[in-house]
Amino acid sequence: MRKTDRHLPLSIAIAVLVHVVAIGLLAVGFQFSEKIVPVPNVVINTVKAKVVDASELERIEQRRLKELRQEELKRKQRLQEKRRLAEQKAKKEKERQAALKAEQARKQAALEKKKRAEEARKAAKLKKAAEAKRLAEKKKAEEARRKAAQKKRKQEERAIEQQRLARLEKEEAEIQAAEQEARRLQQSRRARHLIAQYQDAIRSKIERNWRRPLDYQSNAWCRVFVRQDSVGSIQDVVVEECIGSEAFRKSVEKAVWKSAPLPLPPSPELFHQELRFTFDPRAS
Amino acid sequence: MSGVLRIGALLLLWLLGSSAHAVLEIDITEGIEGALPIAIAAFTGEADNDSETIEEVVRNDLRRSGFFDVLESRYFPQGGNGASAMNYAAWRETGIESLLTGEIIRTGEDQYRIEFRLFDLVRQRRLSGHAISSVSRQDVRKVGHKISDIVYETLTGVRGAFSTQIAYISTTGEAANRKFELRVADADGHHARTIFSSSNQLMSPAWSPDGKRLAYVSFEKGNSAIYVQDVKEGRRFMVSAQPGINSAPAWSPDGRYLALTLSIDGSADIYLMDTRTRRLKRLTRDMSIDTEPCWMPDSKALLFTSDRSNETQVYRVSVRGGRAKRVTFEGRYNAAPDVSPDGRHITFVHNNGNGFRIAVMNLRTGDMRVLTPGRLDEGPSYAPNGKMIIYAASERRRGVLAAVSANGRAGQKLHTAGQDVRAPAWSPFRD
Repeated sequence: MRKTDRHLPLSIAIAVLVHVVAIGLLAVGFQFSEKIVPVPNVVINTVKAKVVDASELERIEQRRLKELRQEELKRKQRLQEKRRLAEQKAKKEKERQAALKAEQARKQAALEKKKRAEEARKAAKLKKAAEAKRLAEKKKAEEARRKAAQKKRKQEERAIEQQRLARLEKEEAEIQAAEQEARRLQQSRRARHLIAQYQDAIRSKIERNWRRPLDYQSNAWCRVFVRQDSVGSIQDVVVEECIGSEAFRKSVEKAVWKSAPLPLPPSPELFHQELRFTFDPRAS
Repeated sequence: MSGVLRIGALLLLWLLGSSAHAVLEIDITEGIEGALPIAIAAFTGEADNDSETIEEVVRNDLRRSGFFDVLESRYFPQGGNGASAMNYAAWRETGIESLLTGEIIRTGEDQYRIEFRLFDLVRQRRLSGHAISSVSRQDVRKVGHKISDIVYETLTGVRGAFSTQIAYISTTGEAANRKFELRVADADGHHARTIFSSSNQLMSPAWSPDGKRLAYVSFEKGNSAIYVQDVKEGRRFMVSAQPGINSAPAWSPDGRYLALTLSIDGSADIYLMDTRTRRLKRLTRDMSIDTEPCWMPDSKALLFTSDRSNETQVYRVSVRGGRAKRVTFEGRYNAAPDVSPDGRHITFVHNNGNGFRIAVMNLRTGDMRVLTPGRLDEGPSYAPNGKMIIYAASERRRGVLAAVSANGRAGQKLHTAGQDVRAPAWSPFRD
């Protein structure tokens, strides 16, 4: 520490020097247009100091420092003035800049607006174009759809027509079948009718000839099997089952025998050699 | 046309699943209800000119039965029954279904042989041929009834009851000359003979099941008493003479018991008497009058008349006694029941305000049918075959014998001239 103290004046000198240099540098730095402090003088003075007496030196130094300070002050004033001017200028510049900027902004805004309008116009145009395109596409799609639908419809119509034809064919077949069935039915009805006619003829003849005993029981009935020959003559009468008095049974047998010859059928093919009669007064 | 028809018919047969071999079914529901038309030709041969001929007896029998329509000879076809061959075709036209022919052949002094044949004119064949030998002139009626029985049974399947007998009480004379007779006659009322007579009242003859004896009520001792008499031999003996009423005897089907009406315990009640021991068993206990018992064919119960309901009605009581059940409900008066041999029907005197008439009732269904149109008919009694009912009808304030077929179709007054007839009883078959 002590050692440092001994070197203080030197240090100060160096520090001052450094400051000067720095300020000078600063001045140089800030004021390209200002007169640059001649740095080599300083360096020479410093080197010269080494060879002057200390007190002298001190005085010189004091003076020089005073000068320096004054100079510094003046410099500072100048600097201040300069700074003020600069600031003023800056302010003005700033204002100008601001005005410029405002103008620019205004211009920009107008521009923007114009641009936007343009853009909007463009957009509208685009939109219109897109709409037109869309419409065109839509129309196209619709057309396609319509065509597809038409195609489909035509296909369907064809299919329907085919179905209709098929149905017609089927109906025709059904009608034919129905007609056939009707003919068949008619024939079987006719057969039934003829057989019924045959049965009726036999029935009525037998009923005409069936003389029931006067006191037959109310629950009496008889079933007889009858065999006839081709001309209706009775060959055999067999009582298969009989509830009732013997007189009742005899009346049944007699009714059959008395009805010989049995009526012949309307058509020989309907002839039945074997007949079964159920005599049942309860059924009447 | 017929060809088409033929093809059609063949097809149809096939369609109907039918064939000439199948059996054609036919239902017969309607018919005529009627008597069987029969022709009874005059018997040929050496018959004396008696007042009555065999064929007349047969005709009357069959007519009276209600089952036959006996046609007069004017309906017969010309030459219908030749001596050797039947002309069936000629008969067929007439609609007559049966023919009886007969021949009387003299075999000696008052000795005849009767031959008869029954023809089925429908099937054109002879049904039966019979001969009855050693017949004397007085047997004409008997032979006639015999033939009637055969014809009846052959054609109806039911045994004929023409050869059976009837018993009844006949009254003749007035006041002091009044005569009561117990008579037995042929079923047609002919050939009547008196087997007992009395100046006192006779009542209620009842045949024993073997047809040999009659039980009846006689007042010959002043009070009523019940007697049993052998019909053929005439022997008689008293079986009941209780104080009070002794009436309405009825034989049990086995002939051992007599059901009687007695009043020994007060009112008239039904009693059973053992004919061997004469012991009595009281069957009904009622303050009303219970009388006219008759046995059910199964011997398990008796029917009788009672006025216990303030009306006169028919009741049934078990042979073991106990509570009697009312049987008749139709009309205010039903009395004097008799049961048909098959136990299915009863006949009784019915009055519903328009006279006493003979009615029949089905015991199972309760269906009742009035058979006679009379005003004072009484004492109905079934024939042993159940097909006819004999009763006493009223004619000019006198009782006359009458018969009605059980189907109600035929009714006939019987031959009972100059008598007042009461209480007929039809005999059983005598085998």
